[in-house]
Amino acid sequence: MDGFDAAFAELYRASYRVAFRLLGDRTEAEDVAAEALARTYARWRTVEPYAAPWACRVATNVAIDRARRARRISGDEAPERAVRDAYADERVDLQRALRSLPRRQRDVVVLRYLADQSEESVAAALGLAVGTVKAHAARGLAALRERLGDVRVGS
Amino acid sequence: MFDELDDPAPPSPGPSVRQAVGARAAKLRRNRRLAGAGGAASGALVAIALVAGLSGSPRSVSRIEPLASETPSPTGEPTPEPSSPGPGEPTATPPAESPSPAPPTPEPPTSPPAEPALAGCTTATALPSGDRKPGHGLTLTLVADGEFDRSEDGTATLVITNTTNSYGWEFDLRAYRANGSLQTVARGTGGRLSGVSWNDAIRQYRVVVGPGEEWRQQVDVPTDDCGTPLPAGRYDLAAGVQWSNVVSWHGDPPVTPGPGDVSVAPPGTSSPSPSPTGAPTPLPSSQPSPGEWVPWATEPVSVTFR
Repeated sequence: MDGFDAAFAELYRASYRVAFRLLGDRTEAEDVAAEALARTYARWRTVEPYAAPWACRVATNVAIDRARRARRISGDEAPERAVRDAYADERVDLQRALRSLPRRQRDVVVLRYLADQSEESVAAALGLAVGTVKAHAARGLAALRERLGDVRVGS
Repeated sequence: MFDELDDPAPPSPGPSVRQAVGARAAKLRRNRRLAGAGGAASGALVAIALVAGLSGSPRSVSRIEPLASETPSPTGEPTPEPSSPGPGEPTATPPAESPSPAPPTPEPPTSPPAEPALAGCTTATALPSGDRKPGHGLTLTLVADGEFDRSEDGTATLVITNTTNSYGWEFDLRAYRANGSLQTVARGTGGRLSGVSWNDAIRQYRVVVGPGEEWRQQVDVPTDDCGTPLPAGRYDLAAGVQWSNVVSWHGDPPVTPGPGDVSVAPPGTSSPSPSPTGAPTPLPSSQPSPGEWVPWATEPVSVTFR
């Protein structure tokens, strides 16, 4: 698992970034990143060629699921935090918007825009042609803009 | 694009985090092994019991032989897809309410009907009945964990078992749907019917199963439904494939194991004595003509999405 150790810091950084963008809570994001890396490590032999996007996808799924569970338990749209997150509403809207996307479109949008992966990297990770990634990204972005507004989804 | 949502001072993972990740990964691997061992044990029991009863020489070998033009996908994880999605591609199906679970509907073997698009999703059709198989004594089963975490794609194992002690079968196997996806149908309680498609979970293989042997392929089980996690609850999962170009023989297979073959013979068991290796025998008249693809499906297994 030398490869995993070598990639650990970078994978953690990418997973944490995605999780924090969705959750806005440092402790939660750390937990999610650790969980994403554990699942990545558990299947390292399989996922090594596309570990970063895979870990980011897991982090996204875990983060969205945690947020949904937290809302279900608290009954609030945005759970209270020790320090109020200035972007809490945006994060909740983003989670909801991502959940509403078709699976493949969501994967592409998450990897392309939330995890900041290149089109080529997304294409390689998902086994898609670059053109297909572009098409999904364009459609997904349009859907996000429709749900979140042009201002919050920049170009 | 979402830079304003970033943590201005992201933490750096220390050795304790690395250690915790390693421990958690070990636990995940252990759980998966236990789940797999449970499934493998039950499958092996069937094969061993039948073979032992007939010949007293149990053997269990997995042969996985992807066709040269195909590459098996990484198993058990979010996987790459071979082609771009488009109208008619199975992704996932929003649960459709119906008074009662619909029975599986036989479909044409080579060209499943077009499915109506629904807000980016497509409706998965039901699976065929599992009556028609490539050879007598072959069983197709789905071994799945009892529980799936809805935040992560799950895995299951497709198992083909040759329960005979003297006949071997070799045939092409591909996903049930023509565009290369293995389809499952998940039926929940209360008449809820959900189609779940396993994209890229299985492509095309040349399967060789000698007497008492098994063929196994791990496949993915998406736990969401058109971008939304399926509701928590119990589902019946089944999987469908198609087979074609069957060759049968009596005794050991007339091929040498390839690099992809994995012996899983339990310790202390021996292989059956080599019997006269027959040349591929003509197919019975009831078999389909070469090139014709015949649907084959597993019985449903009950799983819980939590």
